[in-house]
Amino acid sequence: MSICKKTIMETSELLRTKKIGAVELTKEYLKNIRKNADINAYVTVCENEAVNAAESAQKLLDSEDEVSPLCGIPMGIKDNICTKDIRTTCASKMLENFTPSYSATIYNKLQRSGAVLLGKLNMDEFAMGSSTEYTIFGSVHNPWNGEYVAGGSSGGSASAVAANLAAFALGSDTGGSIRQPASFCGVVGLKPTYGLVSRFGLIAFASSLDQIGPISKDITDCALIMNAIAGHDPKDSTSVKGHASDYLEDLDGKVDQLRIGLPMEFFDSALDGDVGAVIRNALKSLESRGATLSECSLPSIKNAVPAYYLISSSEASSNLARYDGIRFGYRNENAKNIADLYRLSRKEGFGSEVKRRILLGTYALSSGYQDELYKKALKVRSIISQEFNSAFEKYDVIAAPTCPTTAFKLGEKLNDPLKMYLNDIYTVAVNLAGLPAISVPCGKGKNGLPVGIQLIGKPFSEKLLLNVGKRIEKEIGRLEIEQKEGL
Amino acid sequence: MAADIKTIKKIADLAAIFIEENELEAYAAQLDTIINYMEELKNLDIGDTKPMEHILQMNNVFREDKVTGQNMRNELIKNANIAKDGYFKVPAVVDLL
Amino acid sequence: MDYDIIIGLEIHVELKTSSKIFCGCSNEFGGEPNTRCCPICLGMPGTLPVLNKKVLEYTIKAGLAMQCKIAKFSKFDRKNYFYPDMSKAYQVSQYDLPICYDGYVDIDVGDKTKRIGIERIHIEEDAGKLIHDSNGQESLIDYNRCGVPLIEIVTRPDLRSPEEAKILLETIKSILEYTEVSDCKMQEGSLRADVNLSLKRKGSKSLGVRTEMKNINSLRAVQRAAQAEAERQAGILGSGCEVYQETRRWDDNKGESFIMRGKEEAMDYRFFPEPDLPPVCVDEKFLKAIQASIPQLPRQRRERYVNDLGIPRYDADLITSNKHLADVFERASEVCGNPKLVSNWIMTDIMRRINEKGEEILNSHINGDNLGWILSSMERGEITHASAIQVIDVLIETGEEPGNIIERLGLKVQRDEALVVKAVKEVINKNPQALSDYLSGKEKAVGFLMGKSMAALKGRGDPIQVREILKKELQSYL
Repeated sequence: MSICKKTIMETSELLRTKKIGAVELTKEYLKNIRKNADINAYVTVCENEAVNAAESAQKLLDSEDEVSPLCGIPMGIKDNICTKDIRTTCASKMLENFTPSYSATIYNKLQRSGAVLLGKLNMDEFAMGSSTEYTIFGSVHNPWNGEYVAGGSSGGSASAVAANLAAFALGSDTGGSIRQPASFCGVVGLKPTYGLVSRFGLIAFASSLDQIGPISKDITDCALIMNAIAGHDPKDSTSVKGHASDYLEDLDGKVDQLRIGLPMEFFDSALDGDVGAVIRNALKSLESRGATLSECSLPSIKNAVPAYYLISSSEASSNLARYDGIRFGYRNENAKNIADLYRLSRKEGFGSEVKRRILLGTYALSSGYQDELYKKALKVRSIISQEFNSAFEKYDVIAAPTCPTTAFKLGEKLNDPLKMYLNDIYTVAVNLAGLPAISVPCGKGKNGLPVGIQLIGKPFSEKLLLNVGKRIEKEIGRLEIEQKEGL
Repeated sequence: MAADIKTIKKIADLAAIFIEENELEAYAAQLDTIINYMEELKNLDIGDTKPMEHILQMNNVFREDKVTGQNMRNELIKNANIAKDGYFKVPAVVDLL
Repeated sequence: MDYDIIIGLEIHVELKTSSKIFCGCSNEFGGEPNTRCCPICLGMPGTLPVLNKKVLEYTIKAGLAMQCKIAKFSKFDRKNYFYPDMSKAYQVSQYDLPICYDGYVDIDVGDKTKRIGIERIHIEEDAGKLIHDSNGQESLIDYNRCGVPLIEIVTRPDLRSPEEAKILLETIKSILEYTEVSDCKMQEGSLRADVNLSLKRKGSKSLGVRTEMKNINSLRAVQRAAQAEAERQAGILGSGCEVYQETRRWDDNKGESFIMRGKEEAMDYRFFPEPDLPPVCVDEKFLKAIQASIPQLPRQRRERYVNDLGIPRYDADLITSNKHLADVFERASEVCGNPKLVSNWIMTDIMRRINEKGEEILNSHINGDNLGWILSSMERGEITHASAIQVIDVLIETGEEPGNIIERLGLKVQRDEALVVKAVKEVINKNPQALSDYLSGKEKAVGFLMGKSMAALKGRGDPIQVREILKKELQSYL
């Protein structure tokens, strides 16, 4: 079996017992990345830096008794997370040549634990999209079937992990951007509670919704990454204190006495029958292990998509205003006056979806519309949050499909923005309420493409979610792609 | 129609994005569909609900008043396409405000 | 004029913190372009703000000093607009929930006191500076000022003349200096005012159309700009035309204003709550600690000087107009125990030197301790009046310790009786004519000989002692 198929835990053991060297391991992954260039997961592969980092990790492994399980483990990071001296593009022409002089806090943390950065991962431009097709670097292909999308916006991250092009990856989730591609690619994706993981260095899309989270091969790996990245950061004012814990501890998959709520709004007519069957099968296995399943209702979920798009686009219109061609980013060199410098640089630097959302957000905040659109969306946000709160009085976990369907075909929704937005119907409410949610692979549809089940918990209940995920993983097993011929 | 061409022009101006004349109609049509869908919210009777302005029940996050920065101009202007004598350069600005 | 002038001010004040509002860059004025910047104040992708606690403290301090209510719950909002000096293309400000609201400031207009309402004081961040290149083709941007903490003080339209506007700004400036939240250097732009002005026909209830005047950078300019705008509007109304709601820009050199934008071009700032900054909740304990740090303010000090220390009102006014001066006065009075003497010196010799050398001399070389010491030395007769002035001049020049100056220049009064007698005898011997004048009953000769004796002692004799000895010596010839 290829070394790259192994989980972090397995690989870490091999590194510690000197069965493989960190440099050799990194080179294996780099080889795998080259072989699978058609997936288009990476936008930047930093070979030299990766080998150097692997050498340093090996020194740590050789000299220290206690090293992090991440020491020497090759990873990929979504290209909206700043990495000092390595270009960070957001898959946008606007930032095509942007190299930050600072790193995201989570990258610093991962570097300190000895993880090795292989490169930066493809995504929808500025994380706006659900298919990783809105990118200047070309679409990402689903490793299970190249004609299908990998999901988005963290499509590069999910496909890299699924295709063994990184032992794990970091993504960001504003409305489902970790969970949906994880579901489409058959890997584990966790969107942490808002405030648990520092946002410093994450290039903002919608500040009140964005969270960085792990994408991994299995639940244990996910817990392990959370141990490395969760925790307070004084550089992020919305980062919370005292809520991070040891996510590996007591990860035994026990679910007896667990009360699971199944909101009927997530099992509606939009849900593909095939996907529904896979989900119900996974739920049944939880029930057989002692969990109780009850139908419940979150009536305002139907308003979540419009509320989400109004709030996220409004914040984006402001967050993306700084791309004016002056200090960094694309600049139209022919502009004769300052207004043209703005207007032309932004016209040419942003892709069409980004521009659509900026326009939508500008409209929703502008005088005359703000009360009916933006403010109304904030009220819906309150209501959705309250409905979740009441549900959590009765249930420990809410379970639902991550997406209404398995991965769709490349190009299928590209020219119908609204249809693309509706794909996020089951994921956006979690971000509006700031809750943690995990997508765990739980089977395949008849088309052979993966299906993910979404587990939603109270704020800071990541441990519980991982534990329930562990049970599903034990019952159903990991989804692994048949290796290509010759690998 | 929520988003007509006139509205799109106004919004594009506010957002400082140039839209070609021949693209205006397409943008207007797409945004109109989206905005119409969003406007479903208009009909909700939730007048007395408090808007959720901050998601965390958290306040008073401060830093101490300490100078930690130092001159890093060279790093800062590295990403600018045009800089001159340590300044960022733009075409002449005549009172936009 | 047939109109009442209605004026309100919007005053922007830079706070005197060490670091900027959201990052650790230095909040010092000036510096080489873009050397006091970091990825945060430059709004680089992925960076986030963290609020400087001092900014909140200073804002509340200013608010309490202007009798404002302090909001228990307050938050930040983004004000969105494109301008090259604003690095994020939005300004973090406060929209509907300012920290301070509903206060007032009392001002003295002639011999009357007038109360001017303060509508609100809120926190925001300053922008960078645009420099227009000489060729006219390009502008250069320096972001050193970007992210400097500001407060905006919005008054109610309670002012009724350009003079009142100037007095209010002066009064607020001195309150801010006393509370030490800002150095209020108008020439460096750390205090800036916008004038909102409208005219109301006398006796009429309906308000006129209001204009806003920006770019006013001195106390004098506030009065001039308001006066010019009142006249401009009166002219328009007088000719039967309408005043338009617009924003204008004052050019103090030309003494006139120019339109910047009209009502139709009003900006749509799209305010919304800043998601990167949690709200601020102020509790009683925090408030009390700030309240306790507010010193006595100029008006209260002035009354104390007049009523308790017996200082003339005019002098007290002038001394309290400047906190440094008032602090020097109070300390020097304590040291030498004679407030009237100190105030006399401040009003004459010290003021003259401040006018010549600038206010900095108060911060650097002259302070309450050394001025008090010099004056009490003079009072005890250890140095003469003339020497005291000389000590002060050297002190300003060199910063040398006054005791050293007296020692080094030998300014101590000469009281050695034998020396004085010797000097006086020599003077009498060298001036036989004066002696014979005296002997023939001409008292004027005493004055002449007195002058000569003092000169012989190089001005350091104690005049009383010298006069006594001179009289005694002269009497011996009788």
